[in-house]
Amino acid sequence: MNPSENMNVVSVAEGELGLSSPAATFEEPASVLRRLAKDHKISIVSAIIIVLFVLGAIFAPVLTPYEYDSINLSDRLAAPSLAHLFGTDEGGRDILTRMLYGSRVSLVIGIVPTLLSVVVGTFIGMVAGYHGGKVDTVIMRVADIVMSFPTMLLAMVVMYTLGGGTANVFLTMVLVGWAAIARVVRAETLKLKESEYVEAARIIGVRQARVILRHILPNCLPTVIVLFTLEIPSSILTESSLSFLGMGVQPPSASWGLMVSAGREFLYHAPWLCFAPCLAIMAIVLAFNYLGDGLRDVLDPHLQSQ
Amino acid sequence: MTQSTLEVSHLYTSFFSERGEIKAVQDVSMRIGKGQVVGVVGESGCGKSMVARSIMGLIKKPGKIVSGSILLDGQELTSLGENELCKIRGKDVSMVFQEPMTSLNPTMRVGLQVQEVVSIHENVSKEEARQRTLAILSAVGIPEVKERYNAYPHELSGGLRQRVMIAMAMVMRPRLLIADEPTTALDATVEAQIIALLRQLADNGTSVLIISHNLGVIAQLADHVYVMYAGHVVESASVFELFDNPLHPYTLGLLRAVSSLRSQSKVLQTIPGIVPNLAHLPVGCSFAPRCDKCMARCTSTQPELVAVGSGHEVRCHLTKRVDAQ
Repeated sequence: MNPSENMNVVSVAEGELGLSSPAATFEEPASVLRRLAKDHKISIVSAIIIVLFVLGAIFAPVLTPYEYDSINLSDRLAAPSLAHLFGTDEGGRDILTRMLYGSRVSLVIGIVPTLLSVVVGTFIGMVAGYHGGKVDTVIMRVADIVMSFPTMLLAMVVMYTLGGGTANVFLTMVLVGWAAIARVVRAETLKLKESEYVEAARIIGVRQARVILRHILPNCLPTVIVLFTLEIPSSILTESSLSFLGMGVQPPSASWGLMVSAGREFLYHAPWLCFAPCLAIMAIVLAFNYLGDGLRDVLDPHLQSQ
Repeated sequence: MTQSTLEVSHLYTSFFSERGEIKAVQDVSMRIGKGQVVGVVGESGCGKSMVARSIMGLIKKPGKIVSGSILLDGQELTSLGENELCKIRGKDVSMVFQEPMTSLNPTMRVGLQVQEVVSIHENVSKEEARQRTLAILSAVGIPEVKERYNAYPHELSGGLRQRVMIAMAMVMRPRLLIADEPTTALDATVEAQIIALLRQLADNGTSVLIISHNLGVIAQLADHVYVMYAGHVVESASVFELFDNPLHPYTLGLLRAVSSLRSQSKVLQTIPGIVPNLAHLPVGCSFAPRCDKCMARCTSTQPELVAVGSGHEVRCHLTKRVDAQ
């Protein structure tokens, strides 16, 4: 697996999103689901895969008879069999079990920092877009600097100065993640600011904070939701890359990136060590990307008309 | 006309762009009495909407009110800050847009959008705000208000949405309602209903400033009319006087350009040319380049607004001369 290549794929998807303009109409979640089911079956499959992963992470102790850190040297590097569906690693630990426990780390790191970035980015983007002028210029230049800074390098700086561990992985990802969101939300706000209903809200005497919260934020949400689903895979990949480089989650905790990193040494005579976590990373990243694409198609009236 | 609700005097509004100062409104004065309907007509880009925005305090940067005063029942609006303006907007002065299709927030139920106005301006219970919302919605002629209250804008027709907009503008019983081309996006039957509704509001004591390029709408509604061209008021008269005895060549041109079923001509009369660029206005009368009665004086000196009868004022060298004789 090459994490950086995969990340490029994700950022291309974001670029497309930035160009297209989002929903101008509002609809109930149930109706969104119905339309997804009708025109985007792959998104529904993706959603099911995501739900399965989440359930697997939650019920890991029930689903597997093994412990994720119990070493059993008699079973070292066993090939996949009925007893060990994905084989065992160099310590004789069941790979499926480690994957299930590892998905806790990977999913939490995929979702929580992304959510934080989305909240922070949306807020900053709306303020920049609505205020304009100097506030906008300063915020957007900072965002440009953040986005032009290599993520991995920044992550390494944070990890070396503050130490590894989950909290610092979160921190790094929010530090980097808000900028892309803020940019898109700012563009969206600039457009919504000129819309007649925001003007109308001002005409009836609605104050600025309320205009932003009641009239701009809800109309940005379709875009923000799509951005969120498309950002999750890039966060999962970042976590995998950091763990692969030994700067993320520390053993004996399991994470998919860590497992790929550990399996690298045995790539020739026990390829299943890498194979299983790579497959999991690929599956979840593709699932989130397809779901994001589907949501974008359904929520974006401009794409619908084509 | 005893006391005027709105009194605009010598208003100048400009936009300061890289290409220089764009004078959108120049020396505009108007009065609107209580319960009076005043129309503003003119082509696109002649400054009609800018007058409305100046009154609402909604001129965006790089534009600003350069000088002049706007008095609402004696209160000066041009010197107020954004916070004070927020208190007045929606409560004392309201505005209806020309685009009912896009002027409502698509993510909010229409009832709540109307109710928002009440809850912003008055400290009332939710239930009372709701009752007042329902009352105003039925007052503007929306059937089955209880169901419509919970509807989203996309579930309503254009006519109903415009009624919701008018309800939003009217729920606080403002002293002045500005209607900026309120019927342009609507079909003829709905237009007639909206006009009747505005007339009814005026009869109940609300002063209405109606902006339109549709002379038919103005003729039906307005008591007094201001004709604007390139940021200036070029003629001002009562509606009967204006239609019976138009004096400014531009007003004549506008009236000629209205097609009539009885018209003998097969060709629609038009005014040649377009509105001049507001950044590079001609030296003399701004209508001179398009005027068929243009004289040497017209291209050198700007005419003054002169009274030619009771409540009838014209900005044209021609009338000045006629008047002097």
